[in-house]
Order: sequence, then structure tokens, then C-alpha cells
Amino acid sequence: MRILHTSDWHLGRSFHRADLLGDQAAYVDHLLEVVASEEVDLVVVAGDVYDRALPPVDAVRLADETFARLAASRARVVVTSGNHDSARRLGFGSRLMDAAGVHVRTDPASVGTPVVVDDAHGPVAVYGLPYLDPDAVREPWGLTSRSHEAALGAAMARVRADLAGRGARSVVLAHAFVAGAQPSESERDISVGGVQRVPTSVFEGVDYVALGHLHAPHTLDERIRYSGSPLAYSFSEAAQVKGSWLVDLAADGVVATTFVPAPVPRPLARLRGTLADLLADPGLAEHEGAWVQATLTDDVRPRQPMEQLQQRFPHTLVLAFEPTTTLPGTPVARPAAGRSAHDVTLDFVAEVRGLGATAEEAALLASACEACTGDRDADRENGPEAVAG
Amino acid sequence: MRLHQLEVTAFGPFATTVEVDFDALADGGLFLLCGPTGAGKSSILDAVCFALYGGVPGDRNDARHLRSDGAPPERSPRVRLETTLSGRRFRLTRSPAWDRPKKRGAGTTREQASVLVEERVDGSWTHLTGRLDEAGHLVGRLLGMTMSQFCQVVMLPQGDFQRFLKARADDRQQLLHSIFRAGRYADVEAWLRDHRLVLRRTSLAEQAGLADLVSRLSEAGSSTPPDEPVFDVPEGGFDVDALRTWAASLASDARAARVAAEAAVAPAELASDAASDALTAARTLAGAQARHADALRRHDELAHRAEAVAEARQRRDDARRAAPVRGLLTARTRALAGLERAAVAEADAMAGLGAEAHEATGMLSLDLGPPRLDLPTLRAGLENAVARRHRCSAARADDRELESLRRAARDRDDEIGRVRRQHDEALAALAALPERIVALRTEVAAATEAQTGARAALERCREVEVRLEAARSHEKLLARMSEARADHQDAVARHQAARETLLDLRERRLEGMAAEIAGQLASGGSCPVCGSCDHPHPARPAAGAPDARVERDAVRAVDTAAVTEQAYAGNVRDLTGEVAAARQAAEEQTVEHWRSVLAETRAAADDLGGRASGLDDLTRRLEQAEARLGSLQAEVADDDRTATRLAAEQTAGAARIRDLERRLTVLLSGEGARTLAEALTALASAEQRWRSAVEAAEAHERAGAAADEAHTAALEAAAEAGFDDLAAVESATLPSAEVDRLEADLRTHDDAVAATTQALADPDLIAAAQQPAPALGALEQAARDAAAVLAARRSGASVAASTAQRLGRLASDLVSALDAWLPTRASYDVADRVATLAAGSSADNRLRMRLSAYVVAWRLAQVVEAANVRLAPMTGRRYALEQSTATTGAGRGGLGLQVRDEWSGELRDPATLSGGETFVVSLALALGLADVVTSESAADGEGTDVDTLFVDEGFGSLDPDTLDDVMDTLDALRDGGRVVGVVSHVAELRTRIPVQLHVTPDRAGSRVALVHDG
Repeated sequence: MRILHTSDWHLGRSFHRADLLGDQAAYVDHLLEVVASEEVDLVVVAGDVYDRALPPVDAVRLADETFARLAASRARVVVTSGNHDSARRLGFGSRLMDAAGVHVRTDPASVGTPVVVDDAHGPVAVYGLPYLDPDAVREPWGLTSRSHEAALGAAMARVRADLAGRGARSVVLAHAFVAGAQPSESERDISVGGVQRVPTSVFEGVDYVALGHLHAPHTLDERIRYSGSPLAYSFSEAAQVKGSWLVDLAADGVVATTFVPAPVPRPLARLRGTLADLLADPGLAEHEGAWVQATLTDDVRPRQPMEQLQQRFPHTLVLAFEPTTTLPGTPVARPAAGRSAHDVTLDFVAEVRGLGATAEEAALLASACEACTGDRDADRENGPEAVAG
Repeated sequence: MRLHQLEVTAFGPFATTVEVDFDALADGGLFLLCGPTGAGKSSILDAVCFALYGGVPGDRNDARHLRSDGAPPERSPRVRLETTLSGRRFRLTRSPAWDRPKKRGAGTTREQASVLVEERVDGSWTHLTGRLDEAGHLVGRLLGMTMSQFCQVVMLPQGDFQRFLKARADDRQQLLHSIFRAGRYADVEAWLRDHRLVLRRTSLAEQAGLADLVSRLSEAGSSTPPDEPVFDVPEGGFDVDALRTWAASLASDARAARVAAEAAVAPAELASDAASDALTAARTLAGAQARHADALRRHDELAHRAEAVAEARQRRDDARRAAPVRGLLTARTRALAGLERAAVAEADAMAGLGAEAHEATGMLSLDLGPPRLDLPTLRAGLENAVARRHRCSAARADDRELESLRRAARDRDDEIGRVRRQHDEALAALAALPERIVALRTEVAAATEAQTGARAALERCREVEVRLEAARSHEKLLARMSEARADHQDAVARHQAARETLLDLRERRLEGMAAEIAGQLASGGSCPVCGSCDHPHPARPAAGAPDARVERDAVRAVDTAAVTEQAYAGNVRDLTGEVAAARQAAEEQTVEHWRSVLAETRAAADDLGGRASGLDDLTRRLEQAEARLGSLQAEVADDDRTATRLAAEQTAGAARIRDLERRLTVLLSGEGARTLAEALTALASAEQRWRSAVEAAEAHERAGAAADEAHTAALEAAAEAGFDDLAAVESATLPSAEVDRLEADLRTHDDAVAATTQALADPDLIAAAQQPAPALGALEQAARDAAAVLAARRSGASVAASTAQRLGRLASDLVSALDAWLPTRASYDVADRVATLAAGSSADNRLRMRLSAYVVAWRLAQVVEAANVRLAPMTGRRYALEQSTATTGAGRGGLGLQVRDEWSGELRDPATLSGGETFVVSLALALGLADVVTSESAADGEGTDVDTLFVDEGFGSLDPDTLDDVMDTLDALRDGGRVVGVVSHVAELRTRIPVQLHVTPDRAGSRVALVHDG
């Protein structure tokens, strides 16, 4: 059985205020092409179909079209909800859609019930685990601790229980932060009780685990992978190659995977240098059409930097400044927080006078600070006379 | 500040009690308060603010109506909050002022706002305070913020969150000043200033001491100090070293001078001694020479006087011998003189006797001179004179008695005349009186009669009044009786009606008795009428048929009516009796009749009363007249008796007078005097003359004897002393003073002779006389000069010594004072520098910024930095906050905030931001402020901790992408252990924030429910 593993579409997401719907539509086209050309039997989408619980209308339209086309294609589809989706909204009409071959699994109650897809070698039980909020499933499943690990553990227990009775090959879709992988800037923090990671041991006994949530394609294990997002959603992903996994599930459950890169409608570029350099350097010509994140190192902040940059790089999205030297006019490095009152007075002297305090001056300031600590309403016992004498 | 539990009763939209468990909400670090509009989401935050501060944030605070309208009127509004402030766990229970319905009576009474603060100590709640002001003070101190500041920092209220961002520099300064306790630095400034002042005063005081020492030194040493030092500048305007050297030099100079002066004294001493010795020797020589010359001269004088001296010696010896005899001689002379005198006295006395003497001797007075009578004759004459005088003295008593009797007779005559006059007057008065008495008696009788008549008339008046009253009450009672009769008639009618009703009911009941019996049939029971157990068609009661109960009611009604009727009948009977009694009392006459009778009687009584008024007066006058009559009669009788008595006395007295007069006349004629006094006088003088004559004769005899004796003694003594006769004694006598003088002269002369002889024999004097006379004048002068020089040298030495000592002491004092002052100056310099620096007025202070202002600006910079950390991701690194560096007077610079657009590099005033941008920036500021406050309190160990933040609405103004970024930022807050409570209706947030508090409105007030939603 050939499985196409993709996830984290984030339909409707904007990239630093730039609209990506067109690029996302292009990816959908690519996806359907791959399904057709590679003869994919099963497409699994492991969560985060939409970017928001209430997606914009255009995104819904795109998703509708995508599912329709997938349903019309030769592949079956299993979709689960991620932490960005609203499980209920995404799961609308899921029972009705099952008949069309698009299986949307967003209800935690359906965790132990697989979608059985038959291939030449037998049935494959596809368990779609939606994103499980530990707080939400704690009551119904009677979890003892409040963590993703506990939730996923309980879910996997059900899966294993069902699988034991079935004896088929198994594919599990899950949406979690599994230990061993690196996050990028664009994932939302899902830590509960301070912990968000789940160990890989949770997924014992499954032939292939299609993970979603992280946007970089990770291989944690031969059979446990992240597909990553189809498009770059933050500049930290600029170096990543985006795409989906093509997984061949053999009769004995061994998997052989190939990475299918996705088209890059517009590349990302991270530039650094002075404004003049960036504008003049001919070596940067290849980035003129890319999404640009520019870090200007000018000592003096240039005027209208964005406007100037956008003249050469019209898709400059992010501007940052890292001057190499600190200017004398700007305030000196402010004293860090958590300094005692005496230190503050010494800093004050150094700042307003330019020279630090001498030993006697420091001693005098110390006595002044000591005399003035404490409750302002209480009587003062040490007056200046005591020190002057 | 961390919230734990909130319990709200009848507050805002919550009519009942709702509980919010913030601990459960805070589990996720971020929680959402959601619900439809007006459900009460913001009211939860209001309740928290109210529990802490007693007021609600924003506009709602102006409407003083915090109690829920939907709550029942007697439910008291209450908010109870359990929270941890500054590490201590408190429970605040507050109740706003509200109108409570009164427990007794209608209306409401105002129940005042109240507070109760408890602290959890050792597991139990201890009461801290129940006073509003103390609670406010406590909360303010623990949180470090007032309510308005709380609402800018912790609770970003609806529509008001941007206040901090858009505040003016002054307001911002106040908030920062208060939150970050910059007051402490203001205290430091003040402390430094005071310290500097104290040191300045000390320095000036020490310098004053220095100035004093310098002036004393210059005066003592007569030298001015170098460089004209100035002593009124705190830093010191003089050269310390120069002063030191100057003082030392003065001291050493003085010491040298003293040594020199002392050296010059010794030689002057020697010279003076020598000169005085020489003078003394010369003086001694001159004295001896003078003495010798003197002795010589005296010796010559004495030799000349030798003869006179011998004669004087002789005279002295004679006088010594005659002295004792002299005394006797004098005695003899005296005795002879006494004898002469006695003889003369006797002759005088005889002459005085005169005629009496002649009579006694029976001799005629024939100018033979006074007769010489002998002593016995004289004695007899004296006795006679004495007897005659005694007789006349005795007659004096009679004379006195006669006088007194005469006076008494005169008095009695006067008395008799008076008594007669009195008698005549009394008789005259007595004649007129009886007539008047009779008249008065008649008048009194008339008045008494009138009085009696008046009393009777008053009695009659009273009777008439009683009758009148009776007639009145009769009329009233008649009226009442007709009423009572009417009532009675009604009662009778009602009774009648009730009876009829009852009869009617009974009839109807009887008619329907069949149905009633049928109704009592039990199924299966036998019929009481026919005995059958089968009741095919039991009668059914007609509509409205009465039953036993109704009949009983009717019977009761009848009874009630009967009772009522009887009561009224009794009423009528009573009244009838009363009417009859009244009519009788009024004697069947009308009110008018009695009124007129009363008027007549009253008039008569008044008239009689007038006539009787003068009775008392008349009675009194009558009594007076009768009394007077009696007294006059007594008086007349009395006078008669007195007159008779006096006449008798008069007769007796006259007889005695005549007797006494006769006796006196006899006596006087015998003596030949007219009055007794005359006679007595003559007799007394005669007696005196006789007595003196007797005494003179006796004296004469005695004196003769004495003279003879004295003469004999003197003659004997003179013969013994070696004188021939008395005359020789006389001539040799010298007064004793003279004798003594002669003695002394002789002695002096002898002494002088002896002295001169001795002096002339002295060998020293002889030797001295042989030497030349010394030149005393010159030697004296030399000695005086030498002494003067010595004195001058000595005084100079002592002056130099004292000067040297004083200068030495002053110099050392000055040096030590200078040493003491130097450290003071150093400290003052340091204090001056630091104090002016801290106050912002020093020239060194480049920024002209005070310490407290610097701290505030620095804090704001920290806040801005922390805010920028949050702001960058929320705005895609486009916007950043900047502190404006412009100083706005009074060293308060750097508190303005501006927003920098990184993409264009321009600074924007926060007021120009759009709604969503403002929200994002304000949120970043609030988060930055909370960050800084927390880190500062962690470092200091004191101060506020802001663990909980609330954001009330505002998310609706964000576009979805920005909302995403903001939510990411809020998510990141959870790492710091902070809790952020968000109030919003935005649907997206309900999915993003799992921990939610749903507030739903309900007819019976809003409800809250904790939900975990995904």
C-alpha cells in the first residue's frame, strides 16, 4: 500500500501578513498530481488542516475543493484535526463524508476505531488520533496525570487493544510534539503543565506513525516521521526542504519511504548587511523575488529603510536592526534589573557625571541609602547628624 | 498578587451567590472569561477590584449602584476574595453601601459600606481590621498601588487600557514613582542635603573658632596674619600652612624677649642696694652730732635757774604743815555764822505774831518793838489757835446740808406746777369722747346686718346652679335616649330577619332532607328510610340546598342578633331611668327659667356684699375710742394723788431749813466773820504763825551751843602745828593745786639736770661731734634713682614672661584647631559634591537630572525594554516603544513615550495609533511593567509582585493575524508562572484558550461555570 503522508496545511495562514492562499492552492494541485502520478492509495493528513478554529471563508472553500478532488481521486483520505483546528467544526459531516472515502477523524471518542483500508495484502487499520487536549480527555478517560504523554498513552492503549483483536497492519496518525525533534518558530506552544513532549515509546507496536504538528520533516525513527508543512511558514524554515512522505507499506509491515518535495512558489531569503550593501550588492540578485527577512547592521538607523528595501526586494516582510556599535548618544547599557538601591545611586553618579564615584562618595551614598530604607511611615532613627559627627 | 477564591453575592448582575475558583483557572496560566453581552464578564473583574479597593474601575465607579437589582430586597451584597499579597494570604470581605428594607416598619434604611480583612496565620484566619480606612491603607501598601494605578497596571479595563500609554509625563511619573517606590530616592536626596547642611554648619562653626584664635594671636603678638584670611567660606579661604608658621614664629619671638628682660634685672638690684647702704650710714652720723649739741645747750639753761628753785622749795614745806589745821578753822567760822542767822529768824517770827503776841502776854502794843516771849508762852498760844479752828471745821457739814435742802424745795415747786397742768388737759379731752363712741356703735350694727344678708344670697345662688345643671343634663339625656331607641329598633328588626332566615332554611333543608340522607348512604349500607341495601336512584341535592352546617350558621346568627337586641334594650332602659332622675332634679323647670333665677340671685348677693365691706374698719375704730376713754379717766385720778403728796413734803422741808440757819449764825458771830469760809481761813493762818514762832526760838538756842564748841577745837589744833595763832595758820595755807604744781616743777628740774650730765659724758657723742657733717641730700637722691631703675627692669621682665606664655598657648591652640578642621573640610567637600549631584543642581550633572527623576526614567527605560521584548513578536518586529529623551523641565526628562515604526524609521505619538495597534502596544507595556515590577521586587526583597493580569476586551479590534501573534505572546507568559485573565467575546479565543469561565445570564441572575473547552 502506498501512503502519502502530509500534514500541517494551515489553510488560511498568512506569512508575516502576506497572503499564502494561492501558494497553498498550488500545493493542493501538486498533491493531487502526486496522487495521480505515484498511484497513491491512501492520503493521510495528520492534523492542522486549517490555521484557525474559525478559518476564513477562502480557506474553507479551498479545503472543500481539496476534499472533493481527493474524494474523486483514486486515493482514500484520512484526515485528523490538529491543535489549530476546531475539532468540531472540522468534523462537521464526518460520518456522512465517510461514504465518499474522505475520513475525517476529530472526535476523541472515535480513537479506537480505525479506518480499514484494504490492499492486496490485507487490511490496514488506519487509526486517526486527533489532537488530544489533556484537559479535555482527562475526565472521560480518567487520566491520572495531566500531560500529553498520558493522553496519548491512553489513546494508544485503545489503539493497541483494538489492533490486538484485528491483527492487521497498522498506521497511526497523531498530532503531538514527540521528543527528539526540533521545533521551528511557527509552531504553537502546546505545553500543558509545562511539558509538551511525548516520548516515542508511546507508539510501540504500530507499523507506521504519521506525525503532524512540527513544520520540518523529521525522521525520528524508520517508522515514525513528521512530514512537516508543505510551505515555509516562518523564516526559520528557510533552510528546510518542504514536501511529503511517500510510504510503501509492505505486507509484513516494513516501510520504505521516499521524500517528495513540494514546489516552492516563492523562496525565502534571510539577508544581513548594511542597507547600502543590500541595495547595491549584485550577488543578491537571485533573492529579489523571494520573501526577504532583512537584518540591517547600519550604525545609524537609515531613514525609510523598508521603502528603500522594497524597491529592490518587493517582498521584504521582516526588518530587524543589529547595529554593530552602540552610539554614545543613546542611553548607555541600562543597569540590569535587580540592583540594590546603593548600586542604583552609584550608577546615577556615573551616568550624570561621566565619572564613577570615589570611595568616600560611595560610602556616603551607602549610608544615605541605609538611612532611607524601611517603611517610610516609621520614625527615622539615624539622621544625617549621626553620620556627619 | 495571586487570586485564589472569589465569592460574589448580589453584586452586579449576580443576583445569587457565585463562586470563582481562580486557582483552578490559573492552572493553564491563561484563562478566558466569556459569555454573551451583559452577562457579567467584566463584573467578575469589577468584583475583584471592589474586594481589594472598595471601588470598581472605569466608568462604572461613578454609578454608585453596585448591588444587583435582580436580588431579593433583603439579600445583602457581598464580595469575598481570598488572595495572596506579598507572600501573605488574606481574605477580604467587602460590602457596598445599600438600602436594606427595615426590619420593623416600611421603607428602607441605608446600610453603610463595610470591610473585613483577615489573614491566614498558622492555618487559621485571624482578624486584621474591620475599618475601611485601615483596609485601604493595608491593601495600598501591600500592592504598592492606588486603585487607579491598579487599573492601569494589573487590570486593563474595558476601553481604558491605553491610559498608561497615552498618559502625560506627569501622570506617568506619579505612577512609576509610586509603583517603583522612587520615594525612597527622594528621601536619599533629602538626607544628603541635610547631611551637607550639617557639615557646612560644623565647618563654619569651627572656622569661627579659628578666626577667634587668629584675632587673639594677632592682638597678643601685635602682628597681622599673612594673606588676610577669610573665615566665612565653608571650604576655607585661607592658607593653613602660612597660619601655622606665623603662629609658631610669634611664639618663639615672645620667648626670646622674655629671656632678655630677665637677664637685665640682676645688675640693677646690686646698684640699688649699694646706694641705700651709704645713705643709712650718713644719716646715723648726723643724728649723733645733733644730740651732743643739744645736751650742751640745756645744761647752760638749768644753771641759770637755781635760786628760784630753792625759794619755791621753802614755801612748799610751810604749806604742808598748815593743811590739817585749816579744816578746823573753817568749821569755827561756819558755826558763828549759824548763830547769827538763828537770832534774826527768831525776831522775825515774833514780829509776825503781832497782835496775838500782845494778847498772850497781856502787854500793850506800845511800839516797843516785837515782844520777846519765852518758849513756854509760845507753846500755849499755839494750842489755843488749834482748838478754835477745829470748831469751825465741824460747822462746815451743817452748811452743806442747808444748801441741799434749799435746792430740793425749789424742785418740788416745779413738779407741782406740772402736775396741775396735766390734770386740766385730761379733763378737757374726757368731755368730748362719749358722743363719738355712740355714733360708731350704730354704724357697726348696720354693716353686720348687711353681711349676713349677703351670705344667705350666695347660698341661694349655689342651689340655683345645681338645678340649672340638672335641667341641662335632662335635655342631653333625652337626645341620647331617642338614639338608643332607634338602635334598639334596628336590632329588633335584624333579629326578626335572622329568625325568618332560619325558618326558611329549615324548611328548605327539610325539603331536601331526602338528598341529605341519600348523601349519607354508604354503598352497601342499608337505607334508614326503607332499610334496603340497594339504592338505585338516590336523591341528589338540589343546587344551593342548605345542609346542617348552613343551618347551624343561621342559628348562630339568630342568637347573635338576639343578644344584640337585648343589649340595646338594656341601653334604652338605663337611659330612661337617667332621664327621670334628671327631670326631678330640675324640678320640672326649663333651663331658661333657672338661668334667669340665677341671675337675679347673683345681683342681690353682690349688692349686699358691697354694703358689708366696711365692717371691719368700723369695728376697729370703735374699739380704739373706747380704750382711749378708759385711759384718760385713769390719768386724771393719778394726777390728783401726786399733787397732794408733794404739798406735804414741801412743809416738812421748810422747818428743817430754819433750824440749820440759826445754828450757823451763832457760830459766825462768835468768830467775827461773815461766812464760814472766811472764818476758817483766818484761824488757819493764825495757827501757822504761832507754830513758826515756836520753832525759831528753839533753833536759836541750839546754834549758840555749836559755835562755842568749834572755836575751842580750832585753837587747840593750831598750837599743835607750831603756829602762834590762827592768823598765822591762815597765811601759810596754800591751795593743794598750788602745792602739787610746786612739787612737779621741782622734780622736772632735777631730772633735766641729771640727763644733760649723762649725755655730755657719752663717748660716742663726743666722737661724733668731732667728725665733719655728711652731705645727706646728694646721697638720698642717688639712692632714689637706683631704686627706680630696679623697679622698671623688674616690671619689664614680668610683662615679657606673661606675653610669652600667652602667645605660646594661643599658638598651640590654633595649630590643634587647624588640625581638627581639616577632616571636616574634606567631608564637607564630599557631601557637597554628592548632594548637589543628587539634587541635579551641580555643574557636574550633565543631564540636570535629580536622583529620583533618574530612577524613574531608568525604570521607565526598563519597562520600555521589557515591553519591546513583548511588542516585537506581536507586531512582526515592526513597532517598538521608545522613551523620548526630551527633558521637560525640573529635571524630569525622559518620561515621554513614542512609538517607532521600524520600517520607516519614524517616531509616532501613541495617540496616532489605530485601535488595534493601541491595544497591542498597551498590552505590551502592561506586560513589560509587570515584568519589571516582579523582577525588582525579587531583587529588593520587598515591593509589589504582579502575578495576575487581567485584560478586559480589546481583542475585537485586532485582525486575525495580529490576534494570533498576541495570543502567542500571552501563551509565552505562562512560562513565568504568571496568570493572565482575558475577558473577550471573540470566538477565536474560545478555541485558543482551553480554560474558560462561562458567564451566562439567567432570569435569576447570572451564573458562572468553569469549563475546559477545546
